[in-house]
Amino acid sequence: MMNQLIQLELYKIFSQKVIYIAAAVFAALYISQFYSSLPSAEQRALDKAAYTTYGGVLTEDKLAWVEAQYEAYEQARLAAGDQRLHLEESFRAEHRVAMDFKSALQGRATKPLDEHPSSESGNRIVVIASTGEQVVVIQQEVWLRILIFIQEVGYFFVAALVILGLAGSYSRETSAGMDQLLYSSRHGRGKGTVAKLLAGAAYCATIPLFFGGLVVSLYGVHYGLHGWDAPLIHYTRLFGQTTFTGTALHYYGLQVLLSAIGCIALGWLTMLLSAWSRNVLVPAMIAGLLFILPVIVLFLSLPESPVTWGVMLLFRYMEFIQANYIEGQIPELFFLLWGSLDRGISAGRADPMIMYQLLLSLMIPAILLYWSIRRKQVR
Amino acid sequence: MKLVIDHVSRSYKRHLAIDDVSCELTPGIYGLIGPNGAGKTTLMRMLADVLRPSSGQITVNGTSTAVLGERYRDLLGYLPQEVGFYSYFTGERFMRYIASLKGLPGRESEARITALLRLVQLEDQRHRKIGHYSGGMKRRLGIAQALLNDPKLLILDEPTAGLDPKERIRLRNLLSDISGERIVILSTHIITDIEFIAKEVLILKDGRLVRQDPPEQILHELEGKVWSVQIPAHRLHELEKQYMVGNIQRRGDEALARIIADRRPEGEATALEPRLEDIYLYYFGDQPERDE
Repeated sequence: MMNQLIQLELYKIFSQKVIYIAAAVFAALYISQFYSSLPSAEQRALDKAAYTTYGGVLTEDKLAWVEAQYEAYEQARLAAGDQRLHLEESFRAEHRVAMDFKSALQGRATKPLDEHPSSESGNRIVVIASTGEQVVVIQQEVWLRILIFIQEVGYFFVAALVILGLAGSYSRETSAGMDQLLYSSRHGRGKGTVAKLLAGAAYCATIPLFFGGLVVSLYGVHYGLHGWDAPLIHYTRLFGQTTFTGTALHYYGLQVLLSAIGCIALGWLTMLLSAWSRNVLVPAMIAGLLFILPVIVLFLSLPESPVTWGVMLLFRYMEFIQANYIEGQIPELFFLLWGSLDRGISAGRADPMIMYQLLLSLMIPAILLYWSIRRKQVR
Repeated sequence: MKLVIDHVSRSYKRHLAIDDVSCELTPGIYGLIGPNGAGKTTLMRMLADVLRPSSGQITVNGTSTAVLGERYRDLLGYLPQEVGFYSYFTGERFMRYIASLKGLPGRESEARITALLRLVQLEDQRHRKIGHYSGGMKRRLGIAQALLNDPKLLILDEPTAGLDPKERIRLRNLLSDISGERIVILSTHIITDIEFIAKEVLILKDGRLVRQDPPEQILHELEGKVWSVQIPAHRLHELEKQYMVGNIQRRGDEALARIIADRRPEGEATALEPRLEDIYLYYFGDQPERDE
């Protein structure tokens, strides 16, 4: 019975044309942006070849090649003078590999290099070897872009779809008079509410999966998904200092999972607002406002006060969905959930507060919604 | 089963919608009549457990419905006055949804859904979306969903609204057939809906229950008070000022009016057999209607 209720609640959510229109518009926006910045097939092949040839573990030979690359680049730059610098595509691709090595060296070994007496000699490889570390360079574009999608634009698409899909979950029924049938039935106020919450959660969870699937598919088709099994720390442009010891795919899985949980928190808040209103626009607008409220506070540079602090601390839905707090800040609890401790993934506990807030943001609307519906009267 | 409405009142801010209503109901059909704003829908919502009384209580076999909670709602079948079904659901899916909410097990519900859709003659429309149903079909679907859990208490708020005369007769017969061991409370403006099937008529006026009696007893009280008067058409206005006037038939310059009066009116007046419809006029003839 419960399964059937959840299925039918899901059917109600997915019968709304507006979510398909919005999803299509957002997908079209992303796809057009993707193709407008997609390098030519030739350039992608050159990049891939350069990383295959020159990437990998840094050795003395490769360090020499990096230095030579920089030298050549500098000469070309000087030769160009005030003119625009024209480089062959193959040279440009190789230079990207050299730059990645350099940033990896700088990023990974800053402290040990400074503290190590042999750093004065400039032989960074020796230093890295002596600290027991390895510098590896791989092609990073694909997975970095996949990983930052939700943080850059994805969170907006996802939140908008969550709100659009769930704003009418109760208000539409109230305005149509269906609430009378629901609340006069045996399970309308109890299991019916639980079914709605679970269906709402399932809907919310599918949204990051949908956009994640879209992004992964686009990159997979045009670049291939190699690098998924590389440790995150090899993605030096963003994660050179990470304490996360899993692979890029691990990280992505965790990101999607946490993003989905963030979506559920926002979705249940929207449902709670919907239970208190007859007009579908009201919960949609309030949920949207609460979602962007911290940004408004920051944008307006409002003076610090208990109110602004309260806003920043209470309405962290954007951060929940962006899930960019993962890096080095995941309490063990979530790793246990993820089942990754066995695989040797470690993480610090610098800011467990956001995780507890996320849990509270899930629990409070759900409890309030259940309580509201138990007591709700049809006037 | 005995349903007792015990000194129930319900107010909305300053407006008292139901004012100290008390009555006892046992299996059979009860017709609830009253003009708009009399409190019928409010009373029915309280009976359907979607609205709490401001004071008083409703009990079933001595136990308060507030205590019974889900067990009370398990006894209920309810068709609200206005309900916008999910237009994108098929009739069958909608029935399945309500069956789940009522806690009917899967196999039992499938058989019951088929039987009820057949009963309300929607079996061949079960796979059509409700958005394509006519008003009458939606009403029939509403009746079918109310019967899904074989309720011991069936509350129907204006069930015949939107039904054509043939469908209304069919519904009346259906209610008569199924009433047996259940309490059926039926509110309507169409008095003929309850004339032949109601065990008792409950008359609600300004939130107060002014009568609860069998139809024949109420009709008996109207004997000698219903008249047919033939007068020149131009005097109709005058007649309406003096008496409660029901149906008027125009025959050229003459008019034949059905009026309610305690004494024989002047002119060519003939005593008529009272009908239940006359009750409405007798109790509410001078009262302006208002929205509930």
